[in-house]
Amino acid sequence: MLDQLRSHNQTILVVGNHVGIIQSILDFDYAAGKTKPSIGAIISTGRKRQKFFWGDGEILIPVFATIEAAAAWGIAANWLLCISSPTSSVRMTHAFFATYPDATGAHLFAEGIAERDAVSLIETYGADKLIAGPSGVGLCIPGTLKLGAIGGVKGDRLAALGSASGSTAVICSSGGMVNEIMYQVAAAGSNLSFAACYGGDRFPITSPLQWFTLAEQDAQTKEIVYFGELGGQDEYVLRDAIKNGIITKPVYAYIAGRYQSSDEAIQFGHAKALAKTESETAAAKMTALKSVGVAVADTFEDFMAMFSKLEQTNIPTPHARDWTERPANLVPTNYSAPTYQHRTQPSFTAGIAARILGVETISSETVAFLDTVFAELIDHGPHVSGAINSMVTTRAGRDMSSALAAGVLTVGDRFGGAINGAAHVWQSALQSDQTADQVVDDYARRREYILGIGHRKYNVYKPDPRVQALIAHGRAALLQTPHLDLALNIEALTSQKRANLILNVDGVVSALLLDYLTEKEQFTTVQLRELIDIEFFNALFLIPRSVGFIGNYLDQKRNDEGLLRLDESDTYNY
Amino acid sequence: MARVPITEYAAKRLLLGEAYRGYTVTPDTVDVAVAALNTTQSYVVKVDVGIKKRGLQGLLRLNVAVAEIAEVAHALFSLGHNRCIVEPMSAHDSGDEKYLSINLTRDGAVVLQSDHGGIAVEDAEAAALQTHDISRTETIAGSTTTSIPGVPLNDWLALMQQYHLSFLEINPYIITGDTCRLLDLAAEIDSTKANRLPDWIQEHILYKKASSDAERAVLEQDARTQAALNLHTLNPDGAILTLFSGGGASLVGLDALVTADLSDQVINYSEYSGAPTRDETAAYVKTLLSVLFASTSDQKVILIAGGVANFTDVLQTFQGIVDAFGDDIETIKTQNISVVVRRGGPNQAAGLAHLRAFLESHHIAHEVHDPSLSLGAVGTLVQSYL
Repeated sequence: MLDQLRSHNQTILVVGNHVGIIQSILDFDYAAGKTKPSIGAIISTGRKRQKFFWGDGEILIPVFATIEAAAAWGIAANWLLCISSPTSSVRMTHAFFATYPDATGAHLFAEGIAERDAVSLIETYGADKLIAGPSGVGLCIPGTLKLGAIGGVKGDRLAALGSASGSTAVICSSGGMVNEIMYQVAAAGSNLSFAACYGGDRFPITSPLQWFTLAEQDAQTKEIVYFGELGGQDEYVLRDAIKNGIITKPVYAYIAGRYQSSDEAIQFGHAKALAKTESETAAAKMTALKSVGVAVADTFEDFMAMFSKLEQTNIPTPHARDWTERPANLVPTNYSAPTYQHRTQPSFTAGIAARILGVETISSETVAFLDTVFAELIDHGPHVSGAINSMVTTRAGRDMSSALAAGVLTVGDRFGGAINGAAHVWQSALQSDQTADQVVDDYARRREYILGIGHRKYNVYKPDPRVQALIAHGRAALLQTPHLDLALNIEALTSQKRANLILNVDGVVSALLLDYLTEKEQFTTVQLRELIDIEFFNALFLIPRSVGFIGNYLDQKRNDEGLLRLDESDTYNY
Repeated sequence: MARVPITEYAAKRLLLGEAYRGYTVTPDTVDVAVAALNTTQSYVVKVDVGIKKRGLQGLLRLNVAVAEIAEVAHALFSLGHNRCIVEPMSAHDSGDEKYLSINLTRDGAVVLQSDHGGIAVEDAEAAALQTHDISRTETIAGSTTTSIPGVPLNDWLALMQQYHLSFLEINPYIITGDTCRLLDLAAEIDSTKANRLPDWIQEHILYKKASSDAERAVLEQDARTQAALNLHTLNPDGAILTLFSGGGASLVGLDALVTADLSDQVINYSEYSGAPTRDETAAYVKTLLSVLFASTSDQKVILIAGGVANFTDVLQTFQGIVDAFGDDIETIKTQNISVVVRRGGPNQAAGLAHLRAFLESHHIAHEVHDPSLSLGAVGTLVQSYL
């Protein structure tokens, strides 16, 4: 199982915005030479993106309100890191595995998860998932995964954990001691195959024996360092597994909590750390493990001394970066605009498309479609609102920027800016499984126009040639056109009522671009929704038509047209 | 937190419901409660604060007449206990006493039963304890096919789930005809869900009681922070005040003192974790210092020890420690107290340097170590200052 994990990308959903732990995971990923951070998304309230350091640079991690929203967006996670309250942790664990049934596992950071809830999580996930906790600091597979605070937040330690792995497995009840032991194993010259902190609660979800079994089955692991403590019966289960040959690899162990109180049993820091019966004392457990040949240290210094016997395997992480610490030691929290590097794009249109969609690569089919759209929308004659505004401004003696701005300011629902509104009509109808009939009835009942339908000049008898050309272009490139099909079905109904209620350019551009983004760019429904919410689609008009407005300005300047005054016949007297 | 005992009264009322015929009395309520009893029956009066083997300690009285209950209860209260349970006396043959315990485990529940209960159960062989393992599915559902004559096991399992009871020990119980009478019962609840239980039960949860003003102060400080702070006094007149960080490292630190044969010199077990702020740390350390100052020992050492912290900021917590030391620096000097430190984690260099500079400037004997010194070495280090 670990081999499988080591050879694949790991993706974590973090519930709860613990900036320090998240940044430490990103630092680990960077040192391990990953090209992409292992944190797929943060589940929290507030902004939609949060900035973190990525090595010496910065990255944005998406933030969602719910696990379901992250999945709908298209985040494919295989780990949950849950840093939230006990009750919410239980709920989130169920939500995570319901959403990602094939996920590998989780770490629950919360202390104070009820025994009943822990037992119920064991019943549901104990056999199939790796779940570190409740409580503790999580799981670390050097070079591959840092799931939690485990290994700390210090740059040099994270760099070491990212850059090499080895053959020693550390399995530990305590969050503080697992980091201590990882540090001491490294100081003794050895590297880790993995380190797991199963937590100080009475019922860890993945049990100590299950972590031992993981180590036993992992070819890279040659020996196990174990830190247990008083309370509970886990060590007797381990003893039996060793006796029965289920665990055969050498084990070095320390059982903490030898203080014997004369009066009463003391409840120590961890929930489990209480010896109510003789068998729960550290001494009894040490005897049990010794009886099956485990090297049990009598003192903690003896335990440290044992580390010099560990194998000094060093397996460098491929592509690990020579990295010790990012220069700024502050965790960034302010959002600022990303600085785009110059990227080699094959064309102006491809460059525009990548920039406005916020993606790095884009398919040539989508680029070709946008190229056609832009060409069609550059100009539509001097009679339209924006063109008139540009020309009036130019002829009043103003400069190019003013003329362009004056033209742009006319763009809205009535002129040019209906593309986004039309996208909203098609997308929301399709998302809620509405038929064309239902959409038309809805709008009729509300006495609202359907954006994307209707034209001043063209009608069923005189079709808009640009619409025909765009439909032909889209149909040739796409396997499926659900948004366009819906738009045409709506047109079939509306055009029966009035001949000019036909699909217009805004309507066809928005419908087809939704289809291109779905099929060619793998945008999810939620991602399309976000584009509509931020008015993305109106960019398709503003970009080419800005060229048209500049053209209007240059025409007027070239001809040296004078101040424009509206003709008397365009007004009336009273 | 962890498993915490509840009173015998609460446990019996949960298991038996309306059928239960016992009373719970406190020094304030006993007189009124007794006045309401209109019977010639005799009663049992037992201290009900989670103490075991009450018979051997004289904390239970049998065959108490109604008129004598209040007097008997007040006599028990005067021993320092604040709650008693009063039940109708019912005679039985000690040969009929049976034993049963139910312990919830990760795999379900383990039921131990014996027909030789009472004091006999102390001798495991004579008691011939039978073990019944109940599966997780059966335990969660509160429905098992395991049966023990006269014992409504399914009802009890369901009640344990409902009220977050983790452990029950009934010793003894008596079967008379169809009824199972519970003579003595000890129970523990999972304290993580204590605040979800009905109000009346909350009053019957037997949290560890503060045995001193300092312990009380720390309980209050702990309640007011996200971090965890605790103080458990071991020997108030010892020489070593411990200030450990982390649940696991605190055990290792204490082990190191045990190894150095210093067990009886340890004043306290104290552990902080979960990144307390500078101010929270300072208030906590001041409380611990008051315990050290009160010790009659003529040699005193403060041991500050922890592992390599994952994310608790060493500088921030050590600034809090220095703030507390600063407030009481004159007493630290007069009592000739030494300080031994071993700690690592985020900002360890700055944190250790801050504390070291403070101790040097006030000429306090000290040793400050980073993780290059083994955590296990603190025992012998402390010893060298005694």
